[in-house]
Amino acid sequence: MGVLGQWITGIVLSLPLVGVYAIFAIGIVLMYRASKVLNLAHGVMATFPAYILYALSGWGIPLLIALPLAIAAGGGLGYLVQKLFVAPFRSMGETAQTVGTVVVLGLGIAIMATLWGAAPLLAVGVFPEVTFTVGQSGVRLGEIGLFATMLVIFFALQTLFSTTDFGLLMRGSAENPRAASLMGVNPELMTALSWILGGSLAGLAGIMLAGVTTLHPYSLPLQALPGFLAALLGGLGSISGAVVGGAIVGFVLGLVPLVPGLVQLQGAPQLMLAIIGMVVMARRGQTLVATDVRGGIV
Amino acid sequence: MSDTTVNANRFQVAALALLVVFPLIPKVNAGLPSANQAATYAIVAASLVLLTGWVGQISLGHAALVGIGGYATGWAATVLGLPFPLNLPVAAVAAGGMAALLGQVALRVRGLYLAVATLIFSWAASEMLFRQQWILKYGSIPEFSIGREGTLLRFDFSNSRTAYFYIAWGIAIACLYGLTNLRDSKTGRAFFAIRGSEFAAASLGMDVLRYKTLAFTLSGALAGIAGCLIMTEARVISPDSFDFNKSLFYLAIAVVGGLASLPGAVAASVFFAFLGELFYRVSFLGDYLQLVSTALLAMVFRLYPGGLAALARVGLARVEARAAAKQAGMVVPRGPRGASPVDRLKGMFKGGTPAPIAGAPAPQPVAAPRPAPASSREGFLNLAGILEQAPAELDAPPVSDETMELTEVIEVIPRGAGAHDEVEAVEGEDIAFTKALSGKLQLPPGVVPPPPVDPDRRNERRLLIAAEHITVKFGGLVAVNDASLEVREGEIVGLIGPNGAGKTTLFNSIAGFNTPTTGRVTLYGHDVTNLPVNQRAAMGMARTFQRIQLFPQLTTFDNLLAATHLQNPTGFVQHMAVTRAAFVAEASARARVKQVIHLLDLDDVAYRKVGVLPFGVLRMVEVARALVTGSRVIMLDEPASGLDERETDRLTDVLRFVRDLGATLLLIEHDVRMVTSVSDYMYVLNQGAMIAEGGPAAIQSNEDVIAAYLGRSAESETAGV
Amino acid sequence: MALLEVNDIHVSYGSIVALRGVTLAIQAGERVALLGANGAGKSTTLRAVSGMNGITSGSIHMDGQPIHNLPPYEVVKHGITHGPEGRELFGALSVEENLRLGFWPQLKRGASKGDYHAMLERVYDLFPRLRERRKQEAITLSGGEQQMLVMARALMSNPKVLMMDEMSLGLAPMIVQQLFDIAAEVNQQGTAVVIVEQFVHTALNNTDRAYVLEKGTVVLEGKSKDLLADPELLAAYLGEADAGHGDAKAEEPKAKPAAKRPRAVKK
Repeated sequence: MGVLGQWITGIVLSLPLVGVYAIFAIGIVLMYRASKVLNLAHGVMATFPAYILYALSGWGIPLLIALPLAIAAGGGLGYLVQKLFVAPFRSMGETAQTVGTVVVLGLGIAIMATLWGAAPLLAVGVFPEVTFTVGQSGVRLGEIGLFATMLVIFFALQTLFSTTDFGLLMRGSAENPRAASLMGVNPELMTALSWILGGSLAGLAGIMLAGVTTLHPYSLPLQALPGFLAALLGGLGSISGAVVGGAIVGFVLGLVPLVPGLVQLQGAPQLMLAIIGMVVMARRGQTLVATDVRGGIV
Repeated sequence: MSDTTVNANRFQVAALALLVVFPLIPKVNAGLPSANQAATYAIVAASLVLLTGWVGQISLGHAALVGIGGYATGWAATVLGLPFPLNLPVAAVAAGGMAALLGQVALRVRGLYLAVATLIFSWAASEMLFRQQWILKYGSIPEFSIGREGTLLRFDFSNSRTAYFYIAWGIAIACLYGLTNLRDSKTGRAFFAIRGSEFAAASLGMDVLRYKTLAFTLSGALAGIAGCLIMTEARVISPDSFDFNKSLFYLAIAVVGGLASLPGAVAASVFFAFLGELFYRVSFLGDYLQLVSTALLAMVFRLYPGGLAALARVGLARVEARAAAKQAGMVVPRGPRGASPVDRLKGMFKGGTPAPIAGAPAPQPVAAPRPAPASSREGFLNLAGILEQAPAELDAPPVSDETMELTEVIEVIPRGAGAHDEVEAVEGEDIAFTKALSGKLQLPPGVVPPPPVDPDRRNERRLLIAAEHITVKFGGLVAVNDASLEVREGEIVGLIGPNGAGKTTLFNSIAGFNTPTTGRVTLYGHDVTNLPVNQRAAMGMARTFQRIQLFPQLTTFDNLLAATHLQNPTGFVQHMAVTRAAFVAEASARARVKQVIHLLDLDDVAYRKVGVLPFGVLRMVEVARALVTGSRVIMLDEPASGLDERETDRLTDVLRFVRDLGATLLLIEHDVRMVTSVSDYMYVLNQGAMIAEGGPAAIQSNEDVIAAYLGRSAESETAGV
Repeated sequence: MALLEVNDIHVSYGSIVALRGVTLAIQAGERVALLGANGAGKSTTLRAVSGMNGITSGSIHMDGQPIHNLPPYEVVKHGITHGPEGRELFGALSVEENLRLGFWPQLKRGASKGDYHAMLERVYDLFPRLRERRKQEAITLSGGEQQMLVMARALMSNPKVLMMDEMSLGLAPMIVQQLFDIAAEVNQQGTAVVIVEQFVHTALNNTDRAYVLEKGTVVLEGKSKDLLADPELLAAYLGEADAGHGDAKAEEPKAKPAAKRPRAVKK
């Protein structure tokens, strides 16, 4: 099998990564647009529903009922975090609010580790276990499902936001909550809805990801980090941007190990992503500086 | 800022004594391993107090820095053959260097992104750095001991917990001592200033970039030291101990302690270390330490952000109030402000009371202090209070001799000005603040007010500021269109114009908060058009802000003290070590501030936290702060905004007084009545262009000006109204 | 009983007292101006009415219903819209999307698609420039067009009272008069208009009645044309026209005009 074949295999195998990180990024962008806060607890909103699904299945509840319940848990978590750790600190600034989400991340990980133990568990698979052969490797149905689900979500949300009134309300409220209020829209309600939606998306992605990896309280939540990088790379402004960012991150993580010479370097793709992320943030931070100073002193 | 009182001092001395004695008490010293852990916790927590509590920079990756310190220690021991404590500097440099690198990102991003950046750093360290063989192979150190076998002097670190205890805590205390000194110094004030308002900090001459870098480096070095200690005791380390969860654990310790409080950090460290011990002994269900620490972090963050330090302060305040209530009348002032903390510490070790600072007023009788309100947010820098700023662009400052020497004027004030009138603090009334708004402003003897300004003969006076043909465009919008103005020595110049005329933009061009598209700004004859704010400040330009940019958690005194930044030539090393030079510089800075406070009748509010003062007083404090810098040029941005009649009159008096002291003022204002009564010369801006200039009377009768303010009375007036 | 009654309201921003007792009344179909120097409390008054700020005492009634201390999205249900200082447009949304959001209170009440299009046409007739730019992002509009959008958006919900805050800020006189003319037309169609302005003559020329605020309270009120002829007003803005210093400054020569004539601000 030639080099080209290897690369094509690599691309296909990267698709699930693209899928999961794009879904994470979409959720993060939704929350950021609504609150201007980076939800660093996204990993918990992704992992906790996976554990809930595990527990519900363990109690014999069929997937058809357990799955929506688990996803709803993600949405509920989104609502709670926004209500308890983000909204109260609005007057203190976005940094304080973001740190609030970090606190939740730590607490969430600790709770999951305490309740279900620190050892990896076998998660409940949403998709049946089928493996397709691609080149010299195999790709599981669950992995393709991740990518496919992401596409469905993307198109559904795009339609929602650009054509429906509800989407308009959410966009307007995110853009300018004061103005929205003057138009008869309750901005707090809109923000809560954004977080519920974002949390649900995180839960969905987390459940699917756990299904093709493992259920582990320490490593699974940190899978959201590449999702942050994806959101940042995509500009934090739109869902399409999030998907583009997810593609970048997914392909870097999936293809960089194929580059001759880098195979030996442990963690090379992560390092690369980290550097890219730092550069993007540095540039983004600078743009914001220029705008802030523009109109004179705040 | 400093919450130590005489009582707290005693407490700390007692704690020190306990520390010395601890390992020698049988049974109790079974807790030695945890006590040792507490020492390293304390050092890392202190590094977070410095970085996050004082400078407001979030770090979610400190455990990785500790890890770098640990592996660097291993490398130094193995490759360089350096035993402890010689490998300590290596660890400090390695971790400090990495932190400085990380700081470069911090300098360019807002706090929000910094949190993410440090998180990513932590993740990258775990995924990449700590998986490299060339690092991992230094994960252990050979056995080491000093002293000859069999003698009393032998310390086998690997086996002697007691020896390690004294060394670890000795190092911890040395670090804490240095940090405490740093906090109450010029460097510490710069940290707080940057945290409070980067704009104001820059306007006081502080190089924001440099201080942030310093904070990161120091914080990293401390983390590295902790890593070295961990490695030295454990002799084997693994990357699991330095992951994100550990970073969060360290943050939890700092937050529970009160984030800006060093004693709080120590208390929290001991608390968590012994909690770990407790769980180890008692719990058979697994390791609950992580759960408890994160739960505590969440609770403190959400409900009681002041942490243990706040708790202690509230308790102490209650104790003091009770004690003071017992004594009628004369009471020793709360907080020994008569002697600086520097003195106190020296006094502690050298014995005897230190000499009073020259120029300090005699201790004043103060009414019984009210107990601090139960609110946990009072007076404490907490995690949730980290402010966000866009940093001003900055570079290395040049030095100039144009700064007016205020001491030339102030030195003639008699020293040791007598006791002030007793002030009765009545619940709910702000009688105490009346003096700030109505006290008598007296020029010091020997100071002669300058001759009145003749608008026709301005050219005879020295040109201090010149804005030449300034145009400022933002995108397609022209905010300022070819405007020019001059400020000459001894004048009060007013810049007025309707809303949206471009006054603030022009003002900011002169002050350095934006760069004009075309045109030139000169200060004392030098072209400063592109010069950063802090360098203009260093040349002798001070400013106030329309939206007050004082540092709310600091007292009036400390806010003013921050303004002595440029006059203080000492550096952070001198501050940490409290050298003679640092001591002297600090003393003279304090003296100057006291004199300005006395000059402007701010005595009653000197030791109050600025956050609780009424708005009118805050405006005066901002003016006082500008005065303290000693700058010859003071620029005021809508200083009367938000003031009522009485306060505006007082402000006018203060501005004239400051000018009589020798300063030159440029102000923008909306209150036309106020500006015309205080200015010697005025400029009028409308829709970005200068439409008139002249003395106040002439401006008032100028038709263009009247039209600009009242609307188009000529062209668009509909007939017959 | 007046349509909108504001009764002795007090408003504070933290420790700063912004309004210390403001009373005014707006009748249906009137045009009223709120005048005063910066910081006098004009904008704060409008914000108190629309719910952007809470009041610490006093009351505000619309059509007999108390509306003080309600959030803005509740106040707008009572038929009051506010074009605030700072414009507050949805910058990234198009002109038409901004207008649709302005129509939202009607949609909530059950208005139909037909109602929406009818209203949209009415608004576009008043503001033909906006019709031309209906798909453009609001942030790309010029200053004058943005201000038009603010007013247009506020009109979409067919309010009984339209409040506009400092429409003239940064705009050329011609555009300002256009805006006032449109406001007059809207007023003819039955909407009461409350205008906050810093340009006294323009405001008085385009309204029926006016209130003058100073340091948080009403110091003058009356018919606009009466106030126009009132010299006290001039004094309120520019201090004593003749020298009140009582010193050598009394003999100051006339002010020098600036070297350049004022030019229209380039767009």
